[in-house]
Amino acid sequence: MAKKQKLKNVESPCEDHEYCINVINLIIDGEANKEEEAFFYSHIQDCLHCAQYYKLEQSIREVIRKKLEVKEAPEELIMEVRKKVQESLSKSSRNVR
Amino acid sequence: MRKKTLLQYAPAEKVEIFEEEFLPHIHSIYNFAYRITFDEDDAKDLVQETFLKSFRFIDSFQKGTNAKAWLFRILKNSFINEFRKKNKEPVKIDYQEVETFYNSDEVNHLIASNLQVEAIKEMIGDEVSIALNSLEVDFRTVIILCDLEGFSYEEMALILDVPLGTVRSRLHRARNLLREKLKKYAVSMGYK
Repeated sequence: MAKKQKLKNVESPCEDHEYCINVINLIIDGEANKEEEAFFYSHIQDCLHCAQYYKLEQSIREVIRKKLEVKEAPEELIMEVRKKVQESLSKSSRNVR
Repeated sequence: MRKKTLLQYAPAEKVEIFEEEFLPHIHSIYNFAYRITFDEDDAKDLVQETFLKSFRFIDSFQKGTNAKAWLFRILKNSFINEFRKKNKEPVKIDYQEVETFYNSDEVNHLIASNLQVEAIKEMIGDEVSIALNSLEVDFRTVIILCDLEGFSYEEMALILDVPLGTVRSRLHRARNLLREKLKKYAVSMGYK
């Protein structure tokens, strides 16, 4: 009986897939509550569709974190920011005097 | 509106906070500025504006608290108030129409079942970048804040000045849109 149930779930997506998608995203983002976590870990074992979706979402996050070029602030910009801050500091201390 | 207490730091303390708590985030801030403007000069202007404002209003920052979120919030406000104003014609998109379509179960199912994990893993930075850059700025923003910068939903709500529910729904929509873009690449790479 259990086997039959499992096969049925594998063949067709879960009843409320929208809810599952939300929970999967919350899990990956570390924002799920205990109830959602419990649902996820039990559901993922029976639903191939959701398991695939989970892997897919994980790989998208990973590719964004690892492969997206991160632009570093140019050194002259950092110097310029420091310079302007110093200027505004000396301006305000002159005003105090 | 919360009433903020001004702390009135001494000048040396201001510099210390600036150097130790604000400046270490300059690369993240610059990267974000570049990803929302697509222009190095505009990004530099936004970064300067953000850091000068952060210093000017340093007395409303509680030392040792979340400087990164505070800076991102200033950057976001500068972007909306000044940068968008400069470009006379703001980008108008019928979000509702886009969102309704991408929120449907049917689309979620379709996209998820077609896009293979392997295809994603094969992708190079440029492809991911193009897909992300093609999203409208509000959607692009939430993806960057969450996935790249690792902000929590609550921090994002603070930065964007929107309710938590809006963060969730915007992120959900953004992910659907991004997945659709990535799917197109996957198909062009021969994955079905």
